[in-house]
Amino acid sequence: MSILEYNGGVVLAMAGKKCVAIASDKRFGSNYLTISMNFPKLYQATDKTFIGFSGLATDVQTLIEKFRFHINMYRMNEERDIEPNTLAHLVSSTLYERRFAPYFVEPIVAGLDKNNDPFICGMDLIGCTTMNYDFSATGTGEDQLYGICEPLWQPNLEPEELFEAISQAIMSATNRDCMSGWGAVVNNTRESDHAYAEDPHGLIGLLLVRQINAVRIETLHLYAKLLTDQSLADVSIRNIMTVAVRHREVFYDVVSSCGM
Amino acid sequence: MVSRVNVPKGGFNFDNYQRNLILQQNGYSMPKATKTGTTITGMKFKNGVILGADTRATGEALVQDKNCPKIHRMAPNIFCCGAGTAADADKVTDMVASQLELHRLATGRESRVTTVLATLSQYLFRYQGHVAAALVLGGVDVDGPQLFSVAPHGSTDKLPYLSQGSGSLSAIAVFEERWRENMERDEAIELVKDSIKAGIFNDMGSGFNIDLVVIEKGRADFYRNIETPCPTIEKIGNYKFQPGTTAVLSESFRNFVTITEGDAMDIS
Repeated sequence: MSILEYNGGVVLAMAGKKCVAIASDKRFGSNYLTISMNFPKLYQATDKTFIGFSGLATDVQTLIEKFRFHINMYRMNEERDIEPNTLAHLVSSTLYERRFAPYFVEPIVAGLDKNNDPFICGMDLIGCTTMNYDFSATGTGEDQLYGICEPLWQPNLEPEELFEAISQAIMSATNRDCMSGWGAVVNNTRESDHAYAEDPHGLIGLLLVRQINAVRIETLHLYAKLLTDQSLADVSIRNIMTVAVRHREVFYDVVSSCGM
Repeated sequence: MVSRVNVPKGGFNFDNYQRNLILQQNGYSMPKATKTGTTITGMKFKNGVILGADTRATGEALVQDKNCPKIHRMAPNIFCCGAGTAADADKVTDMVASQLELHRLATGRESRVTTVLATLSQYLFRYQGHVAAALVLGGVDVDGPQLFSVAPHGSTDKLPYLSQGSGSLSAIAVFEERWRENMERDEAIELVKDSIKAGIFNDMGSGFNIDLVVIEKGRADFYRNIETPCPTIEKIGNYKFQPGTTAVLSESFRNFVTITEGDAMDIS
């Protein structure tokens, strides 16, 4: 067995229209024994960027701390958050530094860049970057993931459609892989200033004066089995209503703090 | 209390070496890195040099990247194709390109192909082939058009036409048949494209699109995906799932709003 398969786990990232989603399974094992069913492998690097790590869990945890340090130092020095492209190169260099004694991880960097366009970059354990425009998968179920993503992905997926595509892909693939599974965590990051259009209080006029760039991150925990319950069709509508309400709350906070 | 942060000095770090050795001795096999598979070629023509490459990157039998850029820009007048372990080829070309830029700033002169050749071959020899990068290097400088190849152990070849990678045998066969001295630009481009196509169709490690760069005195034209001999077939069916198909255990939302007044800081 390869050392990358010891703890098990998969990470998948997909790009849509002004949105990106990254998902990981939740299994943490020791060879064939499952120790935990709640071990997602995603790390939120900045507001708009995630890194997902598959491979040896100890190296995953070490690298999360290492990158937390680098990202915070970057923010202090540059007074802005690190762009996903820059972060991908930082991760790649950190891994290549250990070229002859590598960390046993295969990370994926996924996020929205400064124009809220999706960015995905997968890497092997020594930092070879593959900047795919569609999707990227790593982990024990990598072959299965690539297989299911090829037909399910299409260009310009809306955030809701992207969520469905990535969830079905990861659930199907982990069902065919012994070393990963027990559910999935999906982080769906999207630009969402169009949600303000439903504001009935007429404050929409103020929005035009300022450039507002809103990014919404949803963390969704999924069942281990595929379910197609009709009543769950209401879920997405609920999402949108909840989000619209929250957007208003945020907007009011911002407006009041600006002294309007 | 502030403690000093150790800034890495550059170069390779062997901290994990002992741990990895113990893991290997306990029966865990070492993972394989992404290789480029690859067909990369180069040839001299009447006014310069043309380099060509396919775009497939493989991890054992799985295709990791369908459109991987293998032609790296070392200087405005010098380009380098990389085969072998993908990370090694990428990092060694980036490193030498950075050194070359600093050298240009220090000397105020256009870079020379022989500079790149010496740097690459000495670096690769120093690592005795463990940095597994096979490179085809071409450019036009004060000494005219030059074409070289560098093997992973550091040996170099100077030839009028070259190929490297797993598809090199197929590609060199095309050159052996049709290469002549002082070919015209368009004919030469077709020849390089055909050599890469030979690799794409006959070698399992090479595939997808063809990248090309034509370097002449004072100009370099880089054609990304100049030809796609293996186009993706349009999907007829629609595989979109209805929103709400997937059952969700729990959800949480976070909003991040940034307000920009006036000119935003230039972060390009």
